[in-house]
Amino acid sequence: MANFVTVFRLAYMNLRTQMEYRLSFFIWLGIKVLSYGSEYLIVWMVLDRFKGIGSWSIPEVIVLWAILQLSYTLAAPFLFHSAGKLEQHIVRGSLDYFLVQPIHPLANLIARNFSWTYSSQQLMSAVVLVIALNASGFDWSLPKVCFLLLTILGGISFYAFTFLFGGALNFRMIHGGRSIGGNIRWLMDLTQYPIGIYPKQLQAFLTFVVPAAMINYYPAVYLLDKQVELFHPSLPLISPLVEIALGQIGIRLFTKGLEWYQSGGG
Amino acid sequence: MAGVIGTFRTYTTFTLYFLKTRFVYRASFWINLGFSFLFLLMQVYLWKALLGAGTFTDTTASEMITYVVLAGVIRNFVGSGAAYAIEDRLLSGDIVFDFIRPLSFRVQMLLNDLGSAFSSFLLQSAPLLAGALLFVGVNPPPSLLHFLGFVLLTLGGLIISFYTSYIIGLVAFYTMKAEYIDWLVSTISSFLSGRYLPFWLYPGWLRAIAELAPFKLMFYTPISVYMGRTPLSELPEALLTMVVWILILVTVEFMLWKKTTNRLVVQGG
Amino acid sequence: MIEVVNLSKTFRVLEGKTGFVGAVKNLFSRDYRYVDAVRDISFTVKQGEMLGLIGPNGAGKSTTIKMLSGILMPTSGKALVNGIEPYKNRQENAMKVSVVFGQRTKLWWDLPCYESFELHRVMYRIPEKIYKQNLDEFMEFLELEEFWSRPVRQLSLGQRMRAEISVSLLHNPEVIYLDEPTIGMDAVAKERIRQFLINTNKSRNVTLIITSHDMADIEKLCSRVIIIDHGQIVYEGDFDEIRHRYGRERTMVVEFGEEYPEIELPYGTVIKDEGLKKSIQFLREQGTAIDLITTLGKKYVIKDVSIQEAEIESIIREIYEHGM
Repeated sequence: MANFVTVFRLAYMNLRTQMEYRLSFFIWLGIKVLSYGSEYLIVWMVLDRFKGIGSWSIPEVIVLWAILQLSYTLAAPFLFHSAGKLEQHIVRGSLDYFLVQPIHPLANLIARNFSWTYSSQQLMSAVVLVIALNASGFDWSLPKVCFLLLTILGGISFYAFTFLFGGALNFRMIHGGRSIGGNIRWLMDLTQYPIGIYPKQLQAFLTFVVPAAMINYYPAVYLLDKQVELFHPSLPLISPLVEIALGQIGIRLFTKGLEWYQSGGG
Repeated sequence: MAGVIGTFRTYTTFTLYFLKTRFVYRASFWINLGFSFLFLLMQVYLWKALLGAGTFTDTTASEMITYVVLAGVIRNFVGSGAAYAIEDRLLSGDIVFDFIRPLSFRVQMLLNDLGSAFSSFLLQSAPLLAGALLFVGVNPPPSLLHFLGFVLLTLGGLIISFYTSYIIGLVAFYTMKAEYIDWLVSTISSFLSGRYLPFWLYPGWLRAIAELAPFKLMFYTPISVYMGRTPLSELPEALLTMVVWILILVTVEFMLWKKTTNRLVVQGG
Repeated sequence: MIEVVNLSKTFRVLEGKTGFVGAVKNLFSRDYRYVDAVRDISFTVKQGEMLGLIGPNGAGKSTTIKMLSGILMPTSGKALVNGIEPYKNRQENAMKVSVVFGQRTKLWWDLPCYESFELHRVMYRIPEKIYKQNLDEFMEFLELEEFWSRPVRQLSLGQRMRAEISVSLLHNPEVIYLDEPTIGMDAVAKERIRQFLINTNKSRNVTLIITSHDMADIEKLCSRVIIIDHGQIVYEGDFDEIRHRYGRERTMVVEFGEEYPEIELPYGTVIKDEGLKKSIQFLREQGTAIDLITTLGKKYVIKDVSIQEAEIESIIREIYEHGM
């Protein structure tokens, strides 16, 4: 209970700090809107030219994309500047202080580095998702909507996993270039397209090795009643659950990485 | 003559330095390579799926694949950190030390970039290219001249990338953090350079804008020459455009530089 | 009470290979070597004691402090801080101790000073009464009013350290670890901090463990000293004894009025001759500095004198080389 109060206090101080740098706040907001818009533009250009991909119509592909975007913009505020930039914290030495404070270092890290500039993107993604769902003939029935929420939760969990996993590895090695988490997220630039177009081995990789396809593709198969070939018919429904489990694993990995740091690595 | 040798030695020192530091991060080297290749594969399959049906006559699957491979190769070594370096230098005032050094800061940073590009090419682009040649199909250039044109234009693109970044760093001195301007310009230039998609997929209005900017010389123009989309007859024009843009950027940078250093010297940093 | 029993810490360090070929090899296989940062040290600290941990750079002081505060896990052995093993029960231990790293701040950089205090109050669940009591006391003694509303990034080093130490004592910790607390501070600021620490120790019986390169800090604050070198305890005991026994060498830098090619000394030797300035080294037992300078003053023209005490590094080197 007391820890909640502390976490909120930290987040409040963080917000105050970000508001101090008002110019920076708004510029970042603007930059993010621009980035977001440009990503949308790319997808749109491709789709416009080719009128859909495989058996997936334009709105259906946009559903796939929007699920990813919404998941990311809901996960990133918590984790991008905390676990995602862990190296900076280690170098600055602030991590040591976290280890001597009476709240969990991960909670400490997240609360202090929560980013408030994602709100515009969250809104846009949600709006785009709803519009695209409508255009795809989504039936807005209760079970489907519940599953949709579960899907988003699964998406957030998977992105959280990439940040936490990448962060955990950050404890173990200094990085040049992208971390594994960053690499996975980079790859997901291409899982916004229906993975059915990729050869079987690649599909298997994206399902069983790096289950990025479980965020959007498989759930969308159920949500949009798509008739596609699947490795297993249960995949659409269990996908969000797998992702949520991965999120938990991510937290555990991060804690393990912390323990490793404590035993003197790095 | 001594100056040239000295410069060359400095250049190789920078390159070796970058090679060495990259090698230190062993695991991430292999992982990044693996993911790079995976990303390339996925792009290839995406375009095969989109174009495989063969109903689009303005481009073929093998063309798109070639484009994607070459863009991936170039993407690994283009890109400059000059904006941040110059921002640091100006803010800290250390720039004054560079006034008395034999190599001006600008040249140092340029060599830095070139060395870094060279090492990135060896470590990241070359393996990627090798993998692509082995497992994916890459169309060869129609002639040696096309290939030479490609190489020249790519080098020009590197220089343009450097000067753009350097100018951003100078402008940042007067306005806001370099990070913001860099993000902004990067986002915009990624469209105007053809980094992700070739111009022939662009809607007319976007293509018109892109043709006017210098960024196309980083990706689209060189690759287009390589693929023969730009016929040899137009190559001289492309090269001229490259030279003109470089001159423009050099001039802009020079004027900004004079203004900035004057201000520094007068105000005392 | 703090009990340290056979505490050891070994780090695994990457062995960088030299040259280009080495760098390529590095891509495929790696060599590690093991560094014993702390080797089998044992000591106890009573509640309320002020202990100094000194030693040259890299001796293992910071590593020891990190293990005692729970940041690092020992390779073997254990440390008990009031019955808790800090690296195992981190959060429980955290409520009862405090750490101050001189070179890093735990204060919130961009916000006014008081925000960091408020955060501490919430984080350590400090009851209102105790918080107010402590704060009033610290405010008065360290004059925190001066910069209470200013963002931490605008504070001078001295001000920041006053805030840093105050914050660290708000929750009435049983132990406080200070790693180079006065580094970079001017003499007045240092003295103020030292006085504050002494007062706090007296009034609250807080155990203080301090590392510092400033001998004056240790001298004025600590009743007991542990000297660590190469990960091992090399001396443990009274500070005075060290000074008298091991701080034997003193160096006097004399600026003469004329360039004398040779100086006749009653004792000591000229270790550095820079023309007008000469550095003379002598042992305590040979005589006092005053006597030396008086004698010299009778024969030569002297413009200025400065006296250097033996540095910790050289004392420790001496102890290590010659033992106790």
